[in-house]
Amino acid sequence: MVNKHGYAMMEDIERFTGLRLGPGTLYGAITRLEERGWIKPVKVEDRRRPYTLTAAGREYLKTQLGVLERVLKTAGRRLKHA
Amino acid sequence: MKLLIRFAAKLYPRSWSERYGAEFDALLDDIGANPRIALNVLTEAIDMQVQRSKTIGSAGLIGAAALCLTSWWVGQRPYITPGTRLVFHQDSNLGAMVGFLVFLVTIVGGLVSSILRQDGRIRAAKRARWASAGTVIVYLAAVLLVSLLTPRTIVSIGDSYCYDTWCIGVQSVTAAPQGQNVLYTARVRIFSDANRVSASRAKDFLYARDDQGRRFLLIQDSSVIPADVTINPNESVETSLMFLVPANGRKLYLTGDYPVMPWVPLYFGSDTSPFHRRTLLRLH
Repeated sequence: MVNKHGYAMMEDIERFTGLRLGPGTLYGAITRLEERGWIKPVKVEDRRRPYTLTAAGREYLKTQLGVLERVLKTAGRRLKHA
Repeated sequence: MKLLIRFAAKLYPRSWSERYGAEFDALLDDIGANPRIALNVLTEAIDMQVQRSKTIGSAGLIGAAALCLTSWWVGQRPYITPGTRLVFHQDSNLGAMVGFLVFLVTIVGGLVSSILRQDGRIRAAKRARWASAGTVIVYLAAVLLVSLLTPRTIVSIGDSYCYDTWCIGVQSVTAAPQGQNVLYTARVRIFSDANRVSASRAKDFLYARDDQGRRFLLIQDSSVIPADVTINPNESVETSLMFLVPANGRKLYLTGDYPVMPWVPLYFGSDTSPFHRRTLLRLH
């Protein structure tokens, strides 16, 4: 996974969701993710600081993706019979 | 627009700015400026301040409670004028200031809630709304509780009481039996507590009442200075008030129905607060 700084994250999120996050919203999320230990900054000289997933973040993401996958499968099945 | 965004970015908590300020500025440089970005930065700064101010909020609440109690104490205790007798006041300046502060907090809370809702931050908007509503509810409950618990103040002969800036003090009282009744004549001093404006009260504002709650109206006497005389700043007038009271009337007090602004009863230390036992001036 490539480490990304704020602007790169905004571009990336817009690319795969179609939503353009505001800078305040993005940095609100970055603050919460870092406080929970799910991401950490990568040391660079530049002002644009990239972030990377931590082991705990990766574990949490896996769990959440599993839940999401089950929800999507169930929703897909039920939609067929609706 | 860029200036506005920079200003909004300065509203973030200091600890947050120290940690994220430089990279956040870099992001703002990258994305340019428009009103939507300005609103987004502003609302997130407010939201973060609300979230980070829980500790400050708790300290603020304790401070506010201490201030409220102090204002009540100040409001209910006699104000001692050097060289003269005690002067009691209908309301307290500190209580008025606390009331105004609560009013401001409510207005700001409402505004913050509206701004957050405009930006789609429904939960944060709800928090701000509840915070301001909670402040008002706690304040009003405290005012009512303090009102209920405060004992009635009885102003002794020689001391004074001020209805806003209009003050009156009973200096002496004589009682002359008149058949089944007793004619009470109170020598009073009326003076103004204001520095600039003159003060006066309606003629029928004052009355006497006994311990059974019976009212006795002021006997109008054209030979003395009327009670509705206009008092200039720092001026003082001496006159007499007469009341005809049945002989079985005991424990007579002077009081008055003074109309106050609707918000004055909501001050800590206000003599007109709901459930509060109004101050009486002793006439016996």
